[in-house]
Amino acid sequence: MWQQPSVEQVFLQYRQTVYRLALARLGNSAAAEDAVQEVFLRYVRKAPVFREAEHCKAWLLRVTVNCCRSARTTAWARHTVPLEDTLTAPPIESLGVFDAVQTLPPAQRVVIHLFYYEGYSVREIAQMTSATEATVKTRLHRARTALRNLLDTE
Amino acid sequence: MFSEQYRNDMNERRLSDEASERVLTALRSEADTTPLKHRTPRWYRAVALTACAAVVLAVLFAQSVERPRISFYPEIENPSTVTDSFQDEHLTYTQAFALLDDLQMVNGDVITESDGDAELRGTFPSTAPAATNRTEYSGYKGATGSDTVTNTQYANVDEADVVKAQGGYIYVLNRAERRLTIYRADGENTAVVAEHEPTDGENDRLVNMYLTNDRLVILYTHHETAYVSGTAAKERGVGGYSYRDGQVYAVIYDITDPTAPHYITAYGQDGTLTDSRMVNGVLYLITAHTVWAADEENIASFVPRVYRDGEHTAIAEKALCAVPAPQTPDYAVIIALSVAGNTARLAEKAVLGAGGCRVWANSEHLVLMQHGERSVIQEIPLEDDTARREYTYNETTDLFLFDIENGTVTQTAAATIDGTPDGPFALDEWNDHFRIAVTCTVYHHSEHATVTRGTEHVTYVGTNSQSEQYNRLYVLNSTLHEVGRIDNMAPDETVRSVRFEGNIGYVVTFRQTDPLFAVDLSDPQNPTVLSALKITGFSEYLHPFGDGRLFGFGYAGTENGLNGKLKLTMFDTTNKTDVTVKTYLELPAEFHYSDALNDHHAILVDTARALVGVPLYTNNGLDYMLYHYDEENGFTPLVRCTVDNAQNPRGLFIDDYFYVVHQEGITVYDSSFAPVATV
Repeated sequence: MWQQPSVEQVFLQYRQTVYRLALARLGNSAAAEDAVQEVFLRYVRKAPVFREAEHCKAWLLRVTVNCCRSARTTAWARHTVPLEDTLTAPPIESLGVFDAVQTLPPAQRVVIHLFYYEGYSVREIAQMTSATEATVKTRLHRARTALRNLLDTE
Repeated sequence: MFSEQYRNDMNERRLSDEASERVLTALRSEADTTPLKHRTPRWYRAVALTACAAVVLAVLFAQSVERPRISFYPEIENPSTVTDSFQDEHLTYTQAFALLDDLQMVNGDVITESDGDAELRGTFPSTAPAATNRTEYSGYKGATGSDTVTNTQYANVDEADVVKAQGGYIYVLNRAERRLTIYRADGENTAVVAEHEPTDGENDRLVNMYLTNDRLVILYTHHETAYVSGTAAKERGVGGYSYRDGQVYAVIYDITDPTAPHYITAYGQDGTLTDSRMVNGVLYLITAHTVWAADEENIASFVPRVYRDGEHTAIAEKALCAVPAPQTPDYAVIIALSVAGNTARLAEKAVLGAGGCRVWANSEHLVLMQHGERSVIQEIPLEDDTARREYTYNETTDLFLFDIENGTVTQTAAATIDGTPDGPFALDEWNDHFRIAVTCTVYHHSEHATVTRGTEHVTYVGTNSQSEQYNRLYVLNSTLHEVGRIDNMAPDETVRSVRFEGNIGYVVTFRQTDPLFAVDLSDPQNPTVLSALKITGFSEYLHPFGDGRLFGFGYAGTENGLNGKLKLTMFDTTNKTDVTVKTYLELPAEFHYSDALNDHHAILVDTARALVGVPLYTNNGLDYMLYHYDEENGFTPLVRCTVDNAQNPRGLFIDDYFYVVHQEGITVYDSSFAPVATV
């Protein structure tokens, strides 16, 4: 049976998962870092108990979606470090995949990330984002169409 | 392939070690100061302090409230739009296929792996045929046989639930074990009289039910898993994918003798269950059916089917219609069934493009509400070969109106409004006008891009995202044209609960403290806010409680936000321009959540007996609490029934006894609320 690890272990195990979803949703590293902190603070406060690792991960992602909804993301005001620091590769000449996703509305970015990066099903994404399955399908459909137009590699 | 590129791109991005250290420090500090078992509310605590706690503002204004708007962008007009063409005639199959084709719906090979057809074991274990006359059951006096015991939005429109009662019998659906249990409600002698498991298919579920006169209707879902491969799979960027679809059945039993119900028939329709209503013995069943791979030669692949006792056919062309601008390859399937007598399918309607809707209904009209968005994109060139691109998205709701009188389903009007409603209670019809309270969310996204002249390429430089929220109440006429509105109620807050009572609407919004707005709707063109009562916490559910009283159930709090507890509130609404709190009871901290916060079926509000019943979660399980209200003493607890981990308890009165009914059994209380039996 899965033994729920300590708070620190949970953080170390899932920090990148939470960070990447927050980054996809918010678009900049500063805001995403704030979101990561808020998510794990809620984990400490709520002290939820899970039977399986998958439940823990899903809970964290769900809370991440909620935290991001209320986040303000004016990166300019907050940090002087320019956005390029989030890229480890040299500046992209043409519209990169991450950037293309950033042009989508926030709700679509979330489903794209949960679907393509985390590999969740439409039904699971619906539960995580408190939406109906049909709404999730709509968002995916629109996002794919928009991305297809933007990215000429398809 | 997009998915691979996206994954690779994302894998390059990591939370830095410095940031990790900062977070860990914060977590350790929080863990030291927060007792581990303390449960905080789901909503975040706002950081800034607001002014005062319970301030009553008697405000009478017809204009929007002035507030500073953070606006880098030109003001965007956002009127509601109406499409009258929704009333037009039906589609042909060819037209339906063409619409679906336009929606770029997936073409490909669909392989359905179903676990077999829905297998219903319709007959209860009793072999005796049902008596045609209702018999008098000894030991029970005076069947109440009244209307539904379910807490519904409208008294004359029943809603499905897992617990029903009628004629001195209580019916309980246990979803987890897929079992129906029938009890004779007889005080100390309450006992099980029948038990039945209609199915053991792994993909079959019992959802909820209705009772009407001599009929029991169970709503039952049968799921299927289908696989799409071929070109469809390539679309998604993987080898293939699966989806779940299936059918919903209304299974009808005769319960003239509740100790021996017998199966009559079952009507099915494609799709997943959206919602249902029962009006005067007519069941309206709404499902959402998605088209995944249409084949023009095979009607059933792109038109929903209806089922009856093992037979199925595609819905007739005359029942097909489409929303004004379909965005999704799906249907809302609305079927009207008469469940009395010989039963009959009275009306069918398949609405293309309305698959993701929520349902509101009264006895004459049904409205499908669908989430959408309205976007505006502008590109503003700057001097240095750069440009600012501005995206603005408004969340919208499409409303599709149907007449449903006397077992018909006829499309009447369609409109799109900005904003999203909290739930069905946010909509109401009165005096031929519809009123709806919504929260409008606007996302602004700006990016500064370097546009290489002569090409489509953009070097991404930076981005800035913001969102705004404000609340609005629309008044629409019988064809959904806007005739009046109140704008900008409580900016930056969200609507949490709504209740309409005749010409007055009560709207609760919340961000840190809760204004309860009382709105005068007697003049449709000039809805007016009469008062805005600011209190701590907020109500998730409002219920009129007799003359000049409004009951609210929700979260408690302080000026800084929620405090993790729940509360019962009685508002004094005798003077609508000065609504006040008459009394409230903040519940003990051990009760941190209730299903009644999200599901109005879970709460019992008995205004005649002045009682409120709610299920409440503690850290150890679930209790059902019954409170009495009177003007002098406010709310006082009467009954605490430990239900442990059983789900969906309901409290109900039959004659002189009070029954706490849940999936594992019933606890019975007598008229002095002493427990007398546990079944």
